[in-house]
Amino acid sequence: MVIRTYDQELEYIERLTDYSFRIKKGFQPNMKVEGVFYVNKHLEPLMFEELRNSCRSDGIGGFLPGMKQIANVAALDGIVGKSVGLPDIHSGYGFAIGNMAAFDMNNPLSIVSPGGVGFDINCGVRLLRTNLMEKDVKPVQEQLAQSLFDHIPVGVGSKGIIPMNARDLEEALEMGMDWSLREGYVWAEDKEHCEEYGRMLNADPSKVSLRAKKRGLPQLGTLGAGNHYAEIQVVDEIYDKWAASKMGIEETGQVCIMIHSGSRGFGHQVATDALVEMEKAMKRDKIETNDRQLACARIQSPEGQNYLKAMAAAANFAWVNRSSMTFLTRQAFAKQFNTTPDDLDMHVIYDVSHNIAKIENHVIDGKEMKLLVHRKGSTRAFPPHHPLIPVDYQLTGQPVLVGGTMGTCSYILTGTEKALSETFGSTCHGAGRALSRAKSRRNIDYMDILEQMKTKDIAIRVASPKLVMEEAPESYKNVTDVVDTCHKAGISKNCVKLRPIAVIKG
Amino acid sequence: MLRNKLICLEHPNPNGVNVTDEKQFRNLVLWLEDQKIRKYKIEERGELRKIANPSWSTVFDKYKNDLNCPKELTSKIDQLNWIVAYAVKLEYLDNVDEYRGMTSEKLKELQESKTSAPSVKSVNPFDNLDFNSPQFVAGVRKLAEKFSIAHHPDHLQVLAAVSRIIKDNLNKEALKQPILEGKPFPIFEGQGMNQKDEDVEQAARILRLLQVQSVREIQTIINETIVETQSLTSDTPRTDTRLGQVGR
Repeated sequence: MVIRTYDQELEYIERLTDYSFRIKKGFQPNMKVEGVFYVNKHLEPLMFEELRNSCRSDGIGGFLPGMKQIANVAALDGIVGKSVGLPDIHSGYGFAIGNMAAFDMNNPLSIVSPGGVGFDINCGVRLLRTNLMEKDVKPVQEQLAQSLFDHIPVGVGSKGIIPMNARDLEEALEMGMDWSLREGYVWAEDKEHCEEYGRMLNADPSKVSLRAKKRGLPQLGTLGAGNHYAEIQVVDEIYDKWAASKMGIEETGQVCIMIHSGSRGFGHQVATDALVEMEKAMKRDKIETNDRQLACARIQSPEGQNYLKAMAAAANFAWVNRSSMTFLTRQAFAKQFNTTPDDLDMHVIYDVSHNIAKIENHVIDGKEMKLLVHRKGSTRAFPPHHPLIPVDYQLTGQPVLVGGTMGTCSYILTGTEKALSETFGSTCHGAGRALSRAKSRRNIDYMDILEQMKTKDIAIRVASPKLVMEEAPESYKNVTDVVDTCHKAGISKNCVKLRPIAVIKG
Repeated sequence: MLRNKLICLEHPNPNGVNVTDEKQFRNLVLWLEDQKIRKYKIEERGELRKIANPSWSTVFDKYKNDLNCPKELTSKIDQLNWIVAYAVKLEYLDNVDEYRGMTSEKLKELQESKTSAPSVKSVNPFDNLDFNSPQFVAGVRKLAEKFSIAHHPDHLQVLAAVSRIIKDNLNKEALKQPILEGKPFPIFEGQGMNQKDEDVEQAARILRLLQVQSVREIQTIINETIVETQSLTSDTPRTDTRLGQVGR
């Protein structure tokens, strides 16, 4: 590897617009396409600081900076267009979190990489609306937080309260949300407001290891730990009244519930198993990458196919998981307000996946191509009229749900034409980490965080208070900067801002 | 005469019946009862059916009585004649409307038309309407005016539009719904259809709405189907709080 000075590195980075930069070929070896990343003036120094730090350490130790990771992805076989970094990008395993890339399905050399999906397969966000207003909920804020906490088990090693046996799990892995529907846990309308209608059809539970299934079985219907949470939120600001009304959001003060969760230990095990398998396949097929973490396999190889089928099963697991929590949330609210979820109008506004690889058709240089689109820490953001978005959002574009960090705000955005042409219909997914977990633990006191929540009048229930500093707002980029960058760059459009009044987390 | 009546009754072999033959006589009586008169229930016809039975004539006597065959008729031929006539009468009464006013000329006409071309006589009065008569066109235009439907050169298209409005908005269910008050759909908000011509843009937006509406209808039917299926498959959603475990 060539070691260059910071100034030499900068020669490969070129400003494209006020909100985007190009990473030229040669920044990393073997780049097949260029890279691009989106930042505003607040996020820009963070990106460049990372690069500068890595130059200082002569590339030894520490995390690879986001820009390098984007460039390494651009060197993978079969990539088309460009390797895209979204404003919330931060370093991750292989692919940076907030990096998306698409690979040509018709190129036999194209690869699929578990690092491009992430360990928490089909981690995503679901938003439920209610017809309650802040003034209805505020007096019982603490009780509601407790009730949600009692219904939805949280934390590392938590176990769910929906009884399931091994056979149920097999069926759920194959059927995804259709399983939840069949068993009566969710409403028929929930399905249409879910990416992929809550089911990946190519899921094959037989490609999933027994170990993954054992880990997954007791965890269905649990929130998990880390950055996952369930929040009671109120509408703080509406930027696009028309689009918001299409989602059933009429005015500020309206109460919504956001569930941010994924496939728990199940997805993690699927990813781990695949990485082991792929390392062998790479040797056999002589696949070379710039980073060992970018383990991958040809899409058409048995390892590639096995991974895609197992990943689909994990995606289905995550949808069943979020559906189970939807059921539990509805129960908790119905109990608290002594009515039915129907009467509370607790519909799913939308459910997005921000860690997933999907086969989609895109137009590249005027030619339609079938691509395997990896979105890791990146949300699909399809524009109005796209055939893959629900009929209710045909005129507004797909709702994009962006969860903030604990105690900060969250956003609903809508997809745009520009996203489709510039970023394969993708935008940001959240705040994006600024400090590593370890650094957060060292620098921040958890008591301060809890105190901070109190002053903001946010009810909070956590399973492991000592880990909350990892998720403190200070550890993250400012989510408002992130969504504003996407808005200004045109790859999504701001629609609604939500702020939390109750948080439960692991 | 008997032969003609048997033809009317659509007897399979009206020319070959020899009523003087006892066996054929009995068979004919049985056929009349089975196919035309149906005085007895099927299970009660057992005795009549035993044609070879030596005491069949007593059964026949009872049958005549049950039909109220006049006692004055003594010869078996007369009695048979009366029974056949009775069967014809029943047949006529079954379809009075069809047979009334039937004359030999008419029958002849009918038979001729039958042999030339099989015509389907429809009962739908609309089939006899001339959809292109000036009178009809004027009627459609008037109807359209009442519903404020825009002009279209093809009056049949206009009629289809009228029919749609009536079907959607004036059916029993729709009439029960209160008329919606409020703002009309903001058709010019949101992303447009990128048409330069304003009129084309408006038309495109309207077409888009219609498309969305029809897809919505399909989606609603899908949801209804799922709900129906759920009522069969749903295993009353269970939870068991004892299983729950909050993590570290």
